[in-house]
Amino acid sequence: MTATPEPVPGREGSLPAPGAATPLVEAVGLSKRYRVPATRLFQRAGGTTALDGVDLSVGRGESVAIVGESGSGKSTLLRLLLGLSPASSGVVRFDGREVDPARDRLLWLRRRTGIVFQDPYSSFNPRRTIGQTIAEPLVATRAPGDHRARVRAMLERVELPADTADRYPHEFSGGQRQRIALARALVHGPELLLADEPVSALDVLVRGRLIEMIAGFRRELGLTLVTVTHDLGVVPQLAERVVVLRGGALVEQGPTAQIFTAPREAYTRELVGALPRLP
Amino acid sequence: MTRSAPPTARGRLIRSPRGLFSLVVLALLLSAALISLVWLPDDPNFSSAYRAWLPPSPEHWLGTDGSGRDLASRLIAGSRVTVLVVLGAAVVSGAIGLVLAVLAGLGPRWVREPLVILIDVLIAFPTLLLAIMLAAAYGSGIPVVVAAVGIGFGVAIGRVVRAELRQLAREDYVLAARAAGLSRWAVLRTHLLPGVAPVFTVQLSLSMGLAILAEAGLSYLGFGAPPSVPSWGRMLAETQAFISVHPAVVLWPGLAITLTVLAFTLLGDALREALDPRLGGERSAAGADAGSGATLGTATGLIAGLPGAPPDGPGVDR
Amino acid sequence: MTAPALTVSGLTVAIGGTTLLHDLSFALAPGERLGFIGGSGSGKTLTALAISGLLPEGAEVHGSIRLGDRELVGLGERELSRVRGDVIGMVFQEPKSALNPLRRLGRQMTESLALHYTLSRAQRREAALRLAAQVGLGDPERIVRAYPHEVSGGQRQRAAIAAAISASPGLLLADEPTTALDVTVQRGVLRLLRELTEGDECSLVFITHDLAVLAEIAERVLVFDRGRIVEQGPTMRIVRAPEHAVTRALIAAAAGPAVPGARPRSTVEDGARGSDAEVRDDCNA
Repeated sequence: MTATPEPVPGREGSLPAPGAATPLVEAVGLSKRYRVPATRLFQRAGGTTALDGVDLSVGRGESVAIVGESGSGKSTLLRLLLGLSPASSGVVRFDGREVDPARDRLLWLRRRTGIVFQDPYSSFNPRRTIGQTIAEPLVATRAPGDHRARVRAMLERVELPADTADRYPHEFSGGQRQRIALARALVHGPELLLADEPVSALDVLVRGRLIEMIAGFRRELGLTLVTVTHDLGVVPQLAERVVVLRGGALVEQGPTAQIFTAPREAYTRELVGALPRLP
Repeated sequence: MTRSAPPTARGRLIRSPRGLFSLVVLALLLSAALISLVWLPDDPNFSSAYRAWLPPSPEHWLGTDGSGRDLASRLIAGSRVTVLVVLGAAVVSGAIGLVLAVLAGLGPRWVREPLVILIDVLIAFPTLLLAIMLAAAYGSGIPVVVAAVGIGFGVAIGRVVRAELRQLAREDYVLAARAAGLSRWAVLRTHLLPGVAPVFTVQLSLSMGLAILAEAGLSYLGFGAPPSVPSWGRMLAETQAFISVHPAVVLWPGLAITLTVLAFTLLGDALREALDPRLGGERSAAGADAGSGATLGTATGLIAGLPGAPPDGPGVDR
Repeated sequence: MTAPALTVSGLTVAIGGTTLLHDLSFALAPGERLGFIGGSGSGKTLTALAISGLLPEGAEVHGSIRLGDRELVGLGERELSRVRGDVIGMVFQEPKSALNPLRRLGRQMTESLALHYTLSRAQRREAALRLAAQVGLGDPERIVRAYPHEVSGGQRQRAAIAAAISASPGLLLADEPTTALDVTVQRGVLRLLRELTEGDECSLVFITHDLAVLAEIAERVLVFDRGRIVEQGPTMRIVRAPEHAVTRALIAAAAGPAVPGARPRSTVEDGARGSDAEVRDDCNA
């Protein structure tokens, strides 16, 4: 059943000594091509490139936003970083160790990472209680200790009542669900938090609170944070550095203030300029 | 209604009128089959020209048929075949359906794509023809009926459940579960299978109902139970020529078949609703641990648990 | 002063015994662009549903909604459905679900037109091409023959807008029409909505939770909170001198924390968009 032994890491010996020099997450020449099935008779199946040779490096404790419009490959990048889908070419390393979903169940990576998804509705199994949902990373990584207690503590941290654990997702609002998602992402004490459009589905009044909560966790736990978003507006509150993607390629990256005030690339200028602002 | 829905799936099933009706009918069917093993009003195969076409009486509750056999006894004894066929068809079609759905829905591409084509071909293949071919090869009898019905409906179940599985596999919570570190098998067990349980259960109960009809049809054509084994389908076949003269004789097996099929159909509907935690409202919280993780187990348990162990009556299987 | 295009007075809506809208009153001048703003559950969408007669069954409606000189409260479903599409056009947040995936865009754009007039195939095609051009869809020949999934999100939303304006309605109701779009696409759609409501023929009600978006399109704003209108006034006044706490919270949320350094030049220009003169210039260009 679940008792598949974790594969013995083969490259333990080549592990570089942990130090300031090693980035926590590193992607080199990362590409992803998808097969597109034929839609017509006698048509050959084609392919589409979602990500095209992206290099990325995120230091320990850093907070990076990956910004792009639909089709920019930002969600694909996120999946590859977590080894949720295999790269067509290129390498992802986490703390110096290669992330290869084809050869490895990656439990070591799962223990050290957590993720929040965009959609507060589809990211929960409607048939499982909030308690079961939040405990999932603990169960999956066979974390020691009292899972129930850790779930309760986590609920308290995201300011939800203790009886939340016995309830079902449909009983909660979008904002509450994203806090539950945050609890699930952090319950097992990861070092890296990935957030895929964490506030896009929320209304502006609820957004602020969730962003503050994420920022609070980051300070307190010393998390490294990678946020993927199409909305530049939330970036200043969440990230110190911005990476702009377009059509699967990296357009520009730099400190948040510089991206907003002195973007180098025309596309970045367009993105920043299109942002609606109060008069 | 919904607001006062009981907390557990089982409670919701029993409280709903359809669920209650179907459970009562199926309990009757099961008791009839069990009782027939130890006691019957009369020998269902004893025929005598002296007592042909008797009207209902204290001795022959429902009267007798043209060969003078006691109708009530034949009806009660016939429930054994029904239970056997239903159970067999459920096990075979459920197993085939699930395995096909998982392989054709989630397997690697080289497994998935040929399987989908195979399913489409098999669906187009008439169950009746399959039964006839099997009967030609292995001789007619209950196993042939079970195999034909099981394969025929199993493929249909597989197709429906596969579509549902593919749909679920795209949900963010499945991705979240993988990101949490669950193995593929664990994702299947904790998220995907419970997710398809309602669809699977409904399909399964429908196919159980249809299995009864198929048995009746196949027995009617002579591919079903051997002549010495009373079955509802055979009773229909033997008496249908006299429907204008002795309608009551045809009525009883017809009614038994209709009620049982209806019970399975309604059970499917009732189960689908009972298994949905959203319908439980606030109170569903109490049944949380029992209700959700083991949804599939509960669902199949309810069905498989109902008719109990198949009675292996004398002469049922030569 | 012309008569208002829409007058809502004392509108109260209750569903299942819970009062969700409390005694709303406001008016909309012909050609005016009015914004509804508020958090989720504030009643802004419900108000739009009440105007279009799309409230769920069992909703109790009191008060009056007058469109031109026609009273909408108390109209039967048959008359209401004639009003929708004919007098009121609607655009929703998610063009993917507002459009039927199985029908070509050209057909869907001319649907309400075909309901009101008898059109030949050629006429209908011509109308579709004209509408596609009007909403700024490049390559109209291809677009009108395409299915919704074959075009981009922005093009889908433009097609949905084309469908909404096909029968030249006097009022366009747009519920978060740009929320699902990328920022660069959003900008184009906002400009399109401004152009379409140029002049006095068509008024616009624009619903959003983002005041920054609203500031780009609405001349006047109603701030909703818990089923009440808590503040209303010209957009500039609301943004510069908010009175209600909810308005201030919405402004804080829309503004975000200041990025160190100044805004780039282009957005400073954007900021002036609120005034009418600027908008006219923009559209006529």
